[in-house]
Amino acid sequence: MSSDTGQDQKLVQHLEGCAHERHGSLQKLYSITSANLFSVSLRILKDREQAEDCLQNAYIKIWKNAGSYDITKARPMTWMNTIVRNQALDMLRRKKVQEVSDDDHIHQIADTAPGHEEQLALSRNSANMHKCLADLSDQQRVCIELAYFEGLTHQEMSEQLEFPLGSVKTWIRRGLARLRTCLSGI
Amino acid sequence: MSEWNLSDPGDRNEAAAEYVLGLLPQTEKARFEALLAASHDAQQDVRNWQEHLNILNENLVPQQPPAKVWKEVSKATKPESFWSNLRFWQSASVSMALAVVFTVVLWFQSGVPGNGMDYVYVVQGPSEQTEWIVNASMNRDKVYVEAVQPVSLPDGKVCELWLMVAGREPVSLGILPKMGRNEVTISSEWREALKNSPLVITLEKPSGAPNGYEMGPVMNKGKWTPVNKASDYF
Repeated sequence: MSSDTGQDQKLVQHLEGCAHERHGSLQKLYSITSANLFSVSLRILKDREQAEDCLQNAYIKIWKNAGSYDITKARPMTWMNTIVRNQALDMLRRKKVQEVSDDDHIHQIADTAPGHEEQLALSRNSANMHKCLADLSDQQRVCIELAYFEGLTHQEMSEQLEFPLGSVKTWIRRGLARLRTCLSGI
Repeated sequence: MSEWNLSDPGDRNEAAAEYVLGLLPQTEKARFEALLAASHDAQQDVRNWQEHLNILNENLVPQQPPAKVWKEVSKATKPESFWSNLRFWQSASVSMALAVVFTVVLWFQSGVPGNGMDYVYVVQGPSEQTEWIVNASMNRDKVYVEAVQPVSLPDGKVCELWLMVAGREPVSLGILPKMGRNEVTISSEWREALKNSPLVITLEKPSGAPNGYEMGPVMNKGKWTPVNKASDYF
């Protein structure tokens, strides 16, 4: 984390600028962070147009709420990523409700939801995987990512991956414990 | 039947992780949020897990959004209030900016009133021009506020300077002068706390805020930078 301190300070300065309605600070913040935040938005929504809307709304929230940002509570990227993730998951939930209410889409959802092999392949795709993520088993990582990026419940994961509910719960708990041990040691 | 014994630190930490992941069922989530409202430990667990799980975001390959996103963000966030008038300052000439820097440098070099000062807070405006310089001298028991190039304010508005002393009502260090210099006596009540207390500037009516709990909107905030050896006085 210490290697990011300089970058964090820069981001904090820009957030302070936003809190004082300095538009130039928002522009600088956007140029530094938008590619990372867009990747989060895209990962959750898997639709460019929606991901763009999500990113746009997230930056407006960042601008409006910059005054409440507190460095003692979260690093700046964590705070901004959380705003994007919450925004994207909200949009995803609304989209699911809309799709479920439309019978024509039900088969489409079933057809397009990635199966367990595809999920594993997706999860293995990251070229420079963080050491602590690489330490997790494929199942542990997939389940944690399905919860974090797709907002799935234990039950939904069990159905999607076609594994018993108990196995899914165990993978998540053990995965989180391993993650904590690994990250606390860095 | 609850799955978690939230008085147990291990269980609480696991619940915090699943809370951040969004996995707690409705009832468990409500129980955990009730605890979260009161427990600093639970709040810390949640913060730690937010940081831990942020590696999932960091692991993603950055994707450049199209230019139209910034255009829309910019359109929606451009200030329309009187703050937009401050663009005047942003368009100030380079020579003007250099002159301000030169003035500040001279001000520091002249030793008036910098001589004997222990802490300084330079108030910078939207385009980073120096508006005021605030100094504290512990052996003189004074805080001095010098106007350099104060921000242009709407009619009937002034800026008030506050010392945000932890655990007590914010201390007013007075209305910031439009020109010249003000001084405030350092009270023994907050003398010890001064160096570690942040400073805040609020927008007020000419009479200032009625008290430290009813301030106007915050315009600026910052902290002291030590100038001399603080250990002589604390």
